[in-house]
Amino acid sequence: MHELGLAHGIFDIVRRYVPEPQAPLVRGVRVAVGPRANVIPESLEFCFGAIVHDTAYARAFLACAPGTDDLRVIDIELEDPS
Amino acid sequence: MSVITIERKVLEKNDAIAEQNRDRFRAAGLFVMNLVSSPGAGKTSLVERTIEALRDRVRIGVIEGDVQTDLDAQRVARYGVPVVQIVTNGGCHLEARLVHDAIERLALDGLDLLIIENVGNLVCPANFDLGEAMKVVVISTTEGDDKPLKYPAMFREASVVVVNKSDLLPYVSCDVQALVSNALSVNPALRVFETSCTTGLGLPDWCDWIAQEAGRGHA
Repeated sequence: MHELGLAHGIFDIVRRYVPEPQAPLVRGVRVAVGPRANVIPESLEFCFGAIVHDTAYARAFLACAPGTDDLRVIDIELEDPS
Repeated sequence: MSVITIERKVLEKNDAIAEQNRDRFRAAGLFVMNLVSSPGAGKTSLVERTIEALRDRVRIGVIEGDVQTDLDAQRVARYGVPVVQIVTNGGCHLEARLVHDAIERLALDGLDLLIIENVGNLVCPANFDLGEAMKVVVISTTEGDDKPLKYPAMFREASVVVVNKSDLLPYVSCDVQALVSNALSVNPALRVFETSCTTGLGLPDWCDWIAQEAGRGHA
């Protein structure tokens, strides 16, 4: 499934920017889905949820927004540490 | 809340490995084509006919991509050329790292032309650079003339379109002129060939073009 592979790619990028000790702070992961991305945003969001489930990043959710080119990770939203 | 700005392509890892592959192909002076189509368009038959026509003047290697089985590699191996089968086990396209691993099993310096036959799928392979010089999209007359409009990404990413199975035109509702016009409306730079692997129509032009590309060195 195309979206599953891409969701793994997004998760790799998230892990690179937010190491595991900070993982529970990750909330939103915003991606831009452009016309050249060839993905169904709902499928991508579902796949990402399935991948992070049972990991330290389980509270993270993927949010797709319209983009202009291909598929890009825009930013990651982190909760402030309490 | 705080925000980390990323702005990175999701496929950047694939693209980086594709560039490594491309460097290796360039170093070997190899012309590499990534053959893409929907399942059953006749990619493997086209590979077989191409090898038959060119094997005495072009040194050819083949990478076969399929979801399951090495049936295509078995077919191609009968022609006495080196072939590596990639089984994706459910994956709907080839990725650069799979090709990176496969070329370890080929003596690239002894080849002029490497044909990568992608998994039959007219959607996903469009997004994945493998390090090839160009994508060649094969479309058969049985698929209908509207496919370039329905699956534009593949035709946009390709440099060449091969309209295959032209021997079946009397039996199917396909207007080749409309098909080509639709393809060119998506990508006006497409080079077009019309072929039949059954009658041999168009194969000399197709093979001459490949021989010319393979002879250019691609360094």
